[in-house]
Amino acid sequence: MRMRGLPRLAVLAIFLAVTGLAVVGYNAFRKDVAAMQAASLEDITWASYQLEQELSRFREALLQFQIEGAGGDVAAVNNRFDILWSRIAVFNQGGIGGRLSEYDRETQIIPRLFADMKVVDRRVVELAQNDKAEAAALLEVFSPYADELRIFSRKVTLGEELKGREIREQLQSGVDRTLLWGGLAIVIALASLAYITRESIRFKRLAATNLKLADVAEKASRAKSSFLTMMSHELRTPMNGVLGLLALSKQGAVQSSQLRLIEQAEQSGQQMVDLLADILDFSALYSDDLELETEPFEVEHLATAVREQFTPLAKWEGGAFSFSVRPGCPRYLQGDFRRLRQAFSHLAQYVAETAGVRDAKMEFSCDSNTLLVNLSFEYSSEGGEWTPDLILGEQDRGGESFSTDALGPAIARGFIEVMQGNLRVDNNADGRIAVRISVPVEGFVPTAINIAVLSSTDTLAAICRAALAGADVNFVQEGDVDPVHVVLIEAGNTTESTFLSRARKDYSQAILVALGVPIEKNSFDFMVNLPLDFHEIRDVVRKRVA
Amino acid sequence: MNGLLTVGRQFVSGVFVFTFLLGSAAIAGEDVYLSLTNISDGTVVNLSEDDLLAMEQFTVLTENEFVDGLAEFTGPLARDVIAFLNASDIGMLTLTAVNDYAVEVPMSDLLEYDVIFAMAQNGTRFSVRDKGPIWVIYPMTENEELQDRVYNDRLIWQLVKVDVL
Repeated sequence: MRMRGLPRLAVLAIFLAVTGLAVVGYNAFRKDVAAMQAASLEDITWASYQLEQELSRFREALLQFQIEGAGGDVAAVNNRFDILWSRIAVFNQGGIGGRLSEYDRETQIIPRLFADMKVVDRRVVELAQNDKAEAAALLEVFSPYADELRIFSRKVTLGEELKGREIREQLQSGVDRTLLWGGLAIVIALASLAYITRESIRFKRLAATNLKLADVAEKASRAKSSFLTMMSHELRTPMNGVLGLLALSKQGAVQSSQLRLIEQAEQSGQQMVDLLADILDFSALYSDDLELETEPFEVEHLATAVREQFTPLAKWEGGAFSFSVRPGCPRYLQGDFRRLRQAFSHLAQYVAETAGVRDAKMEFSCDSNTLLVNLSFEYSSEGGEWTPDLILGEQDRGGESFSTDALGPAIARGFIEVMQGNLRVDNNADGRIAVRISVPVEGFVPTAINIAVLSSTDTLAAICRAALAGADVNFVQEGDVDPVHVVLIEAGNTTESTFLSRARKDYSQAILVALGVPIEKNSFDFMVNLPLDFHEIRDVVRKRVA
Repeated sequence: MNGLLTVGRQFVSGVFVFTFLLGSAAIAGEDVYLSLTNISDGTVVNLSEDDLLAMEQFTVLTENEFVDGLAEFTGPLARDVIAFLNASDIGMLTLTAVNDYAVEVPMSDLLEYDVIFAMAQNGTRFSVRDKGPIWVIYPMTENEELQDRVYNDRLIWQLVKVDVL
């Protein structure tokens, strides 16, 4: 995380640094250019020399007037005076005037000259023809300014040269700075490019390594999952055999004490089968391989199944736990019965184990194709607070370890999520805690399927009944007159042909399903392998329903 | 569009010049305000103050290095004045001031921009003591490219003579 943040920060810093340098360089250069532009807009040395020259011309006109006497040109004198006046006026306004006046700030030559011009203005205008004395007097007034203006012009020239040199130096400095900033920016950009390239290569290598590791981990996970699935299957098959035998043993004449032992063995066996199923389901959930098995079921049967599965624990915990179906709930629904039962059982079990079972209730209801289950209870731990972390999945998500009590809630939550259901926990006003589950289901109008089992042993028939126990199945007995839809026939032995003949005779319209590999394969519509797989036989019957 | 306008203006100016030359040109002996000379054919047109004032007056609001802030200059368009010479293919003009200071100005400046021969600033007529009688004014504020020393040097004042080369 830190390594991801660092390059971003570095790139941002580099970008800001380069941008800053570029802006500084640009501003410096812009200032220099502006200064150069302002300085070069007008050559004020020319203006100062013009003034000097016009004074000289005016004095020359006066001198000429003095020499020529009666033939002197008064108009020429006045004209030169006016032109000199206009040159003085330049000093009084505009940028040029301002810059020129700067050089005259200490000496004040121009203001003095202008003041004298104003004083003699009338005398110049009214200069009489042949008035040599007046001309001489006027020359006297302006003579001192000739040298002063020469010095002033020189001052302006030198000053402008100095300014020019300053501007040149400034420009040179600006160029140097711009080169420096530009060079620095290029160096930083290249360095950052090298850094980013190096980081990019490193991240690519890291990504490739991670990809390999992920691939290895995924393969290992798949291998584990595969092993788990295989072992679960392998364990479940003999367990089904054990359960079948236990079911058979109950049918004989057994004492009540022995019957209780058998029932306990049955429950333990069933728990083992359920645990194996949980492991399989958990594996499928985490590898996204879970396939829902939608089948018709009775809501009452679902509630009973959850209760039966939960009863041993309830007895152990010693609390009261009631299961009920709200009146008005449809009798039949379609959904994944086994997964629903497992999910609700796990939730009930988790609540019982973590919160106690004081006055716990699980109520089933239905609303617009949604199965609603309300598991409410009073919290029995005094002073403590029950937190439904595992139910809501806030503890195990993303965790590296998986607590032993998390399997059941995780499976329950996983099933509900896969079924696109919802699970939440509310604190009721009456102080009870309610775990509310809603799962989308489909409505179902049952068509009764009558099944006949033709077998030489009661064991196989019992296993079939156990496997197909459900709302839509009815096992016919000898003498029943109802039409039989499916006949399950023990196949692959000497009795096969006998049972086939009987089926053809008594159940001519029924679908014939071979239990085991048949001798006469063509005589059967379907075949189910032995030992009997509950899912497989249910699938076959479901096809019949379809 | 600009070219058409210019041709139109030149035509109008030409007609005006013709009429002017017949009837109201500066008569010898009157004060010559501005003298126009076509060097190539020797044509000379002397314009009086009244002649120039009788022309259409344009106003240019601009700044330059010789005034404080924006100033309003009024006078005839320079190209209209030059049109009195009825000369074609004018390349360069020489503008001369009363003190014999002269600058060369390309005719293209006068055609491309509304350069005026200003006779008044902010409503006050120029005197010789204040850049009169005529100050050549470029519209610098509205044309940034004119804010350059090259054009600054062409702002010749106390203009009295124009020679067409």
